[in-house]
Amino acid sequence: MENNFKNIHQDRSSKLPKKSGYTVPEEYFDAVENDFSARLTVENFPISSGFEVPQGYFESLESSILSNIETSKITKVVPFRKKLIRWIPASAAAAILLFISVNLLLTKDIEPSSEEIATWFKNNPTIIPMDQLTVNLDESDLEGSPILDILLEADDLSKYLDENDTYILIEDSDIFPNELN
Amino acid sequence: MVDEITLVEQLKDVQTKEKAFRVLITKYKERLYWHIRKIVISHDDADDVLQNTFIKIFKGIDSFKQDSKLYSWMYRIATNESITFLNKRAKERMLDIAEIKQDLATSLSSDNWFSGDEIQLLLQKAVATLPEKQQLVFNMKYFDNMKYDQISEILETSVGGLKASYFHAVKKIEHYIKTTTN
Repeated sequence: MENNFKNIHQDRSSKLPKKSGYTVPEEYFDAVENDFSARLTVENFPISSGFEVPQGYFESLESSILSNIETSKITKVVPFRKKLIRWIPASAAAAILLFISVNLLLTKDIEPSSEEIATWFKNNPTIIPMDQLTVNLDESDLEGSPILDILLEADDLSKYLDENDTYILIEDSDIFPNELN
Repeated sequence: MVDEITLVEQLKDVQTKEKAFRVLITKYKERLYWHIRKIVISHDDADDVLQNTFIKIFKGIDSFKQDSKLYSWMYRIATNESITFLNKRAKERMLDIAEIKQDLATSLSSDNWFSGDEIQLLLQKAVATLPEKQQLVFNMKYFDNMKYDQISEILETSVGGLKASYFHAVKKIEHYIKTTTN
């Protein structure tokens, strides 16, 4: 009887698959130890967070959320007239700036250089007499001119004129018409 | 109770949107609230963030592609709104986010809507020291009792990664509590 049972068991076993077919998630066994350790640790932690809410908060929450959604749907409609009024100052400012910029741009092109001014006066001596032109000159106007370095005192001027050729200088009669006469 | 697919269809239909949205609020308001609350700490701030979350859900439901569960999608919105809130608060006070979280946790001792004892307060302070991801995982696993599969879908992180995060979070909390009480 026992032998029959053994034979039946062996026969069935050879037809049965050896593997159970069960599987586990990937890396499951790697995390088992840590999972167990964490579980032990948190057993000492308090279960509840301690947070509370005001009484009736959740009951009134739905209406306040829906109300806020309605508010967020409303977009302000500004009448065209009001939009226009808002834009006028900005447009005026822009127009003024444009005018000034264009004006500056145009005048810049026609402003004559110093050389051009000097040449003009030289070619047109009778329009503005030299003595009237020079009466308002001061040292800053002659800055950079070799004359400024030389014309320190009237005595120095006389001495300089005696010692140097005058052809390189501007016409004395133009500057000191009374002195030379 | 209407199933999720039907609810989403109703939310996307102009005729039934509002009614379906009421169902959505009723079903998920508390879960979303507590998730937000654990991040931003204060009840008033949690209420603001929750309102913003639902507004975003209402406005964005048409773009929900149903490639994840509806709750996972809403939970992600709630998480992002909470973190955005904390970042904004930190910027206003010229602090970094870790400092602002510590400030908020410390203020719990005088908060009208916190009834925890000393150890619960200590636990909240410890959680506030965790990096963002670990804090989220810890709150969702420990307080919300969510399964790793659910957390994985929400945070878009592998289960293995979540388990590691949870383990590290627990150990850090344990260390914080031990060093503070000693």
